Amino acid sequence: MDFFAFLVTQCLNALSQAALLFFLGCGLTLIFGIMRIVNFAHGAFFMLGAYVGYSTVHWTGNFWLALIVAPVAVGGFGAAFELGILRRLYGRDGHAFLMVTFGLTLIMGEVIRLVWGVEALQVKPPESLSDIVFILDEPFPVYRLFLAGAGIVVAVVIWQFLERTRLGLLIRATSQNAEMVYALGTDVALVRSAVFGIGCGLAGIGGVMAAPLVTASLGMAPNAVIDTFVIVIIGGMGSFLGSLIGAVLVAFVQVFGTYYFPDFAMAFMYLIMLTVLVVRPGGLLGKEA
Amino acid sequence: MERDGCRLLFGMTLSSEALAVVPKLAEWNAIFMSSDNGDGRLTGESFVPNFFRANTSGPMGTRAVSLYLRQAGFKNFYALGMDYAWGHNSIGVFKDEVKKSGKNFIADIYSPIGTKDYSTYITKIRQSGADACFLVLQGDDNNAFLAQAKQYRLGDKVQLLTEIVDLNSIHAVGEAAIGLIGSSRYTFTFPGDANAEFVAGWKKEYGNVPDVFEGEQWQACLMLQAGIEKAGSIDADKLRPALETVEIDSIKGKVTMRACDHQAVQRGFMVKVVHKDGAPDPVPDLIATFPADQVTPACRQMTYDS
Repeated sequence: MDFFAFLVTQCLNALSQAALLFFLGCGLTLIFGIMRIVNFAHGAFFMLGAYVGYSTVHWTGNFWLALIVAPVAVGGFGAAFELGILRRLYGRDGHAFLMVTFGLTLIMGEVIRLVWGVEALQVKPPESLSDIVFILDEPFPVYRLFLAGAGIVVAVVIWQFLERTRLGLLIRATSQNAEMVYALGTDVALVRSAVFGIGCGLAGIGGVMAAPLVTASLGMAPNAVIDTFVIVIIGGMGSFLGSLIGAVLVAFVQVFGTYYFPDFAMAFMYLIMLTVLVVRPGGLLGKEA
Repeated sequence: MERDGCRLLFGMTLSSEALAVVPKLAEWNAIFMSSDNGDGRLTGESFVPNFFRANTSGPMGTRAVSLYLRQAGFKNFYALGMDYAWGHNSIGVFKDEVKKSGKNFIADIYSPIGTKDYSTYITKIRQSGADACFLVLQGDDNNAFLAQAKQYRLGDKVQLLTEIVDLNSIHAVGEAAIGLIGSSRYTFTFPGDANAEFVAGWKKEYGNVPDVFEGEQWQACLMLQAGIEKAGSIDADKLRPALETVEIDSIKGKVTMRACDHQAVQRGFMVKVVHKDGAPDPVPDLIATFPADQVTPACRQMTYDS
């Protein structure tokens, strides 16, 4: 394999991982930005997405349908959770949210265990994505290209949504000054429910997309939540662009770092976080530095 | 155990737990029949007279892999393991075996527990020029690796070998397991009437086929039963000498308990995961069998001289 081919395929690998990390980090940071709460259950929503995706593919044989059903189901569940439970806690300090969302993680983990069982479940990508393409004579899975592409598309869609739509405007305004938005006659509570639902839905779609790479399993949640926190801390709590930069940075350093220094594979992500925290304690694009 | 005056221990799955329990057996006056515990030390340095192992031990599984390598055509080997004791130990043994058989060991690499993206490891294996790669992975890590290796068509270029093949991971990754070669302590596709009868009975009762541990546990049950019938008692002082000379016709063929370290002497098996028409999942197919005297280590040993 010549060096140029190696470079191109590794960059594509990194982009495909960045996409998965972005789906997670973006949702968490949106929720934090507008609600000032850390959603500890984010990994569990990711896992739920994978399992709902598994069932959709299992019953209908259609992976594309799973990409719609899972985020809608997970996002709907998230919004309902906000409406039913979190809404009662606003005004309390952050510990209450941490406890409740942590509790939700445990409950969701157990429910998933009861419904889907303990064995890891296989989610097959559709035939059209199961093939390989040759990039400079090196075989590369089409599915990874699809992941990278999907990440770019979703990032652009969310960016345009936040910048161009009325709900996007309200979300940005609420994250800056919720009282003012409320005083101007907008139902802030509704915006919060919507954002919580969207954030969870993004985690859900990430779960479906990760499933063909890692299978749907009970270990997904704790694993994902740690990665997500690291990305959001690197990018800056509440910053959409920050979560994007964090995801890309972590993915690239992880892929190339593991190649050249495999003994330190686990350390890279935390080293970036440490460096960012020392240089810019609020994260790369965080406002509360 | 102490409150109920329990005299027989059976069904413990983790070697670490078994190693913690065996020093207490004499005090409890109880017999422990192992059905799953693979750690070589249980019939080696940690041996106690009240412990018996009916199952294939970890070193015996690795031994079957290395005997297979001597006769197989692979020349250049790579190894990928999980970055903790098991991964390092197994790859260490494997590396020695490769060198002993005069073949080339290229390099070993270890992935942190919980690794989700194996693309970099797959790239390294491809680049190494190895024609076979030994995997010491389990659980989610194993599933993620196999699923991704399939997506990169790694198996077209490199033969994947593994220490143990079980049905759980085959079920989790489906077609991605096809082509995998590994040792097997037990699989439902083993030949012989005894096994066919056991599998049929299992299917009738549970609606699916028995996995590795279920077969191993059944064999341990048969052995314990034979011992108790011979001794006419479960009293440790009577059962111990009876078990030491037990010989059974098991689902794995003839299995003999030996007195010197209480390891059941049995054959070693290598399987290859293949697609079978009519089966929903790929199945392990027997490709090589090694005689018991070559697979079982010398008394109270974990390694092999030749």
